[in-house]
Amino acid sequence: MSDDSQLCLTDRKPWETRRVHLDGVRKQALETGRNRVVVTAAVFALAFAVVSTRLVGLTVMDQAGEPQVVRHSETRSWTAERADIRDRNGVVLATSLPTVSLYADPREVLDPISAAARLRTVLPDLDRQDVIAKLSGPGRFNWIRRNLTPTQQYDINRLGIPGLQFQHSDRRVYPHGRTAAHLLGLTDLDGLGIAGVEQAFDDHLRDRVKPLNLSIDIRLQAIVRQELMAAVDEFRAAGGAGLVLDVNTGETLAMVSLPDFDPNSADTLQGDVGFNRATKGVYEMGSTFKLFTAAMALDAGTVAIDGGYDASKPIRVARFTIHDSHPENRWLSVPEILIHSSNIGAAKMALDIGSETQRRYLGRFGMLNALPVELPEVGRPLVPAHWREINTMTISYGHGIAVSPLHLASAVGALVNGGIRYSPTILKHEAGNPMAGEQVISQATSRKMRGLMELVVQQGTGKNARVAGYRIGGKTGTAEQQVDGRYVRKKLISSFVGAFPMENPRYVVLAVVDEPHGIKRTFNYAGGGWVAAPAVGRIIERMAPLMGVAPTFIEERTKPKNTKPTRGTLLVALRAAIDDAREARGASR
Amino acid sequence: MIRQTTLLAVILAAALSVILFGVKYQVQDLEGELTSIERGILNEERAIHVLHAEWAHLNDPKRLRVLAERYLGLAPIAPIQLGRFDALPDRPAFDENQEGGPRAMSLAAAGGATPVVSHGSTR
Repeated sequence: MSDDSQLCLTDRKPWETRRVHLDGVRKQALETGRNRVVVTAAVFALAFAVVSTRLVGLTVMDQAGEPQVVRHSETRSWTAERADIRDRNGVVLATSLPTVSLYADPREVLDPISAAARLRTVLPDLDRQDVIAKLSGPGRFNWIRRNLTPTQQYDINRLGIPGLQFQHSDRRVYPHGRTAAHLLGLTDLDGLGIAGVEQAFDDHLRDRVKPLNLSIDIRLQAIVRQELMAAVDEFRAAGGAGLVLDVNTGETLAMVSLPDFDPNSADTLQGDVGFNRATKGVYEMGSTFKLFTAAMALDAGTVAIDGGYDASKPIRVARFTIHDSHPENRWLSVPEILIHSSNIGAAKMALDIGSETQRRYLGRFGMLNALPVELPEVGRPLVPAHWREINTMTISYGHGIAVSPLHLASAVGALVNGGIRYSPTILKHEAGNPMAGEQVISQATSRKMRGLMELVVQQGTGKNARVAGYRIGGKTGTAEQQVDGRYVRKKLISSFVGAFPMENPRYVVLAVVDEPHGIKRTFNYAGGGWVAAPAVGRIIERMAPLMGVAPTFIEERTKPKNTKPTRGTLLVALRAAIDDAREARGASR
Repeated sequence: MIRQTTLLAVILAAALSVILFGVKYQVQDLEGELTSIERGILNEERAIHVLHAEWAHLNDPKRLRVLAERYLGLAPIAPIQLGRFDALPDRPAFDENQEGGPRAMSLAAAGGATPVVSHGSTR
């Protein structure tokens, strides 16, 4: 044994391992153990090799095979609680802004009285007793003040009063204030739409996927509001309505109702200011309806363009007398009936048309039903229950039937655009979408109507609507309103509906003034020609350059002389006007 | 021999651990950066939304009209200020021999100013 384990003390260096030689069973056991260790070590080495290869592969090489996961759930963009409402050009009309409101949890409040005192240093207009009650009272949630400014929020936070908490929410803001008040409507404190577009499209807005694009042009809206406001103020009227429609699509470019309110502060919503006179109010429109009477007569063929009726004597039917406001006391041709706004002529024209035909045409113009416009405040027309001869006659000059201003503007659009009636809409019409229109009068009739309307402005009661350089056509309306079943002389609805440019009409502009009073400048007259026509003229003058409508005449700088029209001159002028319209229509194709 | 292998293995293990944890912390840092950037984006989007409202308010036609009248002295365009190209007078025909050149011809056509005669540019 000692020979086997010879230790050569001088041959071995200190760091060298001692060699031990074993035999037999012990060597076998050691070998087995050694082999097991080697195998385990090999396995571990293999595992480390795999790990290190993977590590090198992941960190050093590009196409490591890591899945390219797009993390949708965390990279969504921020959206407000309610979608924006925009005008046709993308201008924001209504939006939700983040806001902070203050509430109290009375259980956490330590000393309500001192807390109230300190709180009132930041918000001095809080009622002392009220605040103390809210800070000490029962419950766990009492609103103290909603919609704080950021400064107020900072100061209240700095007070460090326990029990006061902020809640973040969104508040509906209308950057343009009163300008489109009735159209946009309001939301209540919980963010629910309660009027106007806010209510009609509540579901879409709460979806908040994309903003709502209206057909309104805020620039036109501002112009119409300003001019209508000027007319209402000058004539001390109770209110008014203004509309601008696109005749080729039925889009509403401006819708104004006065008096109005500021949707940003609910305090301004007092009395009947919330009433939308443009869509919900129904009125007997008066002489503007003579346009439809003439259109029906020409389209149905009951009278020719150079035909006419005897307007020399008033008509007596039962207890009523139909007479003219400014009687000419002679035979009047169809153009003259419109130029002089003769009730007698219109009534006789309607008698020739007949009740059934009149009712059918009015139905096609949309006058007999509420309009399918996308607003909750839509008025239902008042039509006679039994359509007798007397009704036919009064309806011919706009009495005995009550419609909203939107009805009137939309139907006049159908008169001038070639006879197609498009449903009025407040949503922007995307180019490329099909238009659903109904042919209500023939193209030839539409051409004649354009000529007639232009004559009214050139020579008739609509002279105050003239704008130098532009061809405008229209009709005035002056109607007495009823109180308790009787007509009151001084309670007028004065209106003017105009279309331009008459060689190829694009827009209808309507101004309605409710209860104007005559002033010295207008010789105490308050009819449509004095009150509404000038407003429409000013609106057209300002909107034409914006809408890219160039003046037709460059040389015309002065208003034409006021000549008294004779029959010959009139027909020549009318034929010339119709020829021009035909030419321009043909040239523009 | 075994000792060297052991040593090598230990060194490798240490190195791999360092690399592994280095990569892991790098990823954590990047993830943290990503979250804060995303939060920053949300804040910016909200700020942009508020600025849109501010822009709409500043572009209120009522406000712009008041400012235009007060500071710029501007008023709405009147039709008399608009013209069309086909309403312009025709350009006079170009004649090389005309004294003074084409400018003189235009002045003469416009009626009034007598052209200043220049004796050519090169002498």
